[in-house]
Amino acid sequence: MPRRFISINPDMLLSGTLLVLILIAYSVVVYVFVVAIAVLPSTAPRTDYLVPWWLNLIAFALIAATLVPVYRWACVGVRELVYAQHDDPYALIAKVNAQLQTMTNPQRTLPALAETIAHELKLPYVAIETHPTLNEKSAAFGISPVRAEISRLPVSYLDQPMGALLASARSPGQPLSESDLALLRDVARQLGIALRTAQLTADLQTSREQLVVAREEERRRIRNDLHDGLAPTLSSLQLQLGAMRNLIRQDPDRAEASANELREDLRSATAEVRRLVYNLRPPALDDLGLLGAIRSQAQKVSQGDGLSVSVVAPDLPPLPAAVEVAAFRIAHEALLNVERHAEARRCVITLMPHEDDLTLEIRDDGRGLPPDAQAGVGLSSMRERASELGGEFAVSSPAGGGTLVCARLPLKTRAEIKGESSDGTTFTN
Amino acid sequence: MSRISRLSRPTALKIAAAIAVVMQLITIFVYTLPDLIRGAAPVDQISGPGGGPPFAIVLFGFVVSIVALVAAYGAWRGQKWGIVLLIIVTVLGTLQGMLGFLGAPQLTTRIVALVGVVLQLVIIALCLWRAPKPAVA
Repeated sequence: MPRRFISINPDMLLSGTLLVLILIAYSVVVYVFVVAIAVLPSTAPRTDYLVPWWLNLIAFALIAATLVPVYRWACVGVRELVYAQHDDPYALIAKVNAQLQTMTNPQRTLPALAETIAHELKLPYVAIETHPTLNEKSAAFGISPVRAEISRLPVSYLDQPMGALLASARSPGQPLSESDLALLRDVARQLGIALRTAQLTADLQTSREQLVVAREEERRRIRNDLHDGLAPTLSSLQLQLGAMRNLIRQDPDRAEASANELREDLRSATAEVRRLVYNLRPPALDDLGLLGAIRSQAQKVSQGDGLSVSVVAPDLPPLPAAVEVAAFRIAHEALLNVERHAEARRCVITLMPHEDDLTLEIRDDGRGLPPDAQAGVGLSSMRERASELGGEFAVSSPAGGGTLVCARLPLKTRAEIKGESSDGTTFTN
Repeated sequence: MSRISRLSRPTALKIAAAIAVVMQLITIFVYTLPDLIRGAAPVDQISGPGGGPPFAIVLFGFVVSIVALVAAYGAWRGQKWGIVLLIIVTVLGTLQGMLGFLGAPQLTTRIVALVGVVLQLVIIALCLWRAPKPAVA
């Protein structure tokens, strides 16, 4: 027959003992004080007190009337002392920090963290809810007692919500103490930083993967263009040249015709090379600069049906190549949208360089965005170009009508800004 | 909000520890040590006029006082063991004080015992003091 062990909860034993001692002391004190009313006038030491029955009755009535509120008060105090008294709150914070520092996989760490918090604070239920925008799943430990209050503490980093820390009261009607909540708030703060770090790490990894994929896609596209377009053309030119050489003496007329064909083929090969080069970087940017290239585009569009495009910009300082390309492509795409969809009569492109960024605005007086507009390939492409540089992109229908496309492109990368700030630092011994 | 309700828990514990230390030092130097030095009285003189309390009670009171001083140190530091120990020894001290109150030969001694009991109740209340809830807008 298996032996059954009775498990004794030391905290419960301690709180029970303290409660009983306090109630006994209270009852004795009340009884003696009531009896003392009859005893005090006598100065002689006595051991044979004869307490009148009515005085006993009063003492017991007083104890009976006050014992329940005293019990409730003592119960709350003792529970808080035994369960919520944290001798070293930083021990828990340190333990949580240690777990968070080794967080390589949040989906494994968060349940362990919930368990640690529940054990350290002697809480029956702890849950860590993550914000829907995060990839991490929520984690929970324990079961909340029926009708026990659950405190919800927001987990955030700066102003960005990262989730919530949920902690159940130890028993119904006994909400968590202020010291419990203060400690949980500290834990929530650490959790917010850790979740943000995990999110950034995941974003960085995704971004790296996207970069690799994009680079490989670009290489494949260039390879295909060279292999399928330029290489056969050059091979064909080589064959034509060989044939022409044979014909020069034998049949000069056919040789001349072949030379004409060769010239046409060479022209198309040159156009192919130009197309490839334009896809890498629009040549107009090198020939005319950003402002000139955009003005040239604006002029081309203005020659169409009744649309007038003007470019407003001061003289631009030398800009990074990536910013030039992004600004030109965004302006080009936006202009195409205006021409195709906006039904506008007038469009203004504004370029405004600032110390740290370049602002590009394309505003038209057309019909504006339809209420159920969804971002198409063009808008997504413009947004991606801005975000690739760490900038911002927005498209809206302003109050005056029309459409406003606005992009802010930073002129310095974060690494450059960091480099500048470290260069300006002076060290003294 | 009154000042007493704004009392923080660490301050309440420090006050409780300070009261306990003062009380125990007075008990040790004014009552317990002279009785200990006097030694055990013959059985027939126990609790007689001017005979003092039984020696076992004096010895017990001395041990309780020493433990209370240690507990007061723990409570001052805000340690759980100190607070729990202080509550236990204070409850024992309260019961002891009640005996002294009933058995004291003079009115003055009774009043002193009464004041001691009240102070011990204050110590217990301060040990179970809850931190005030922050104001909610």
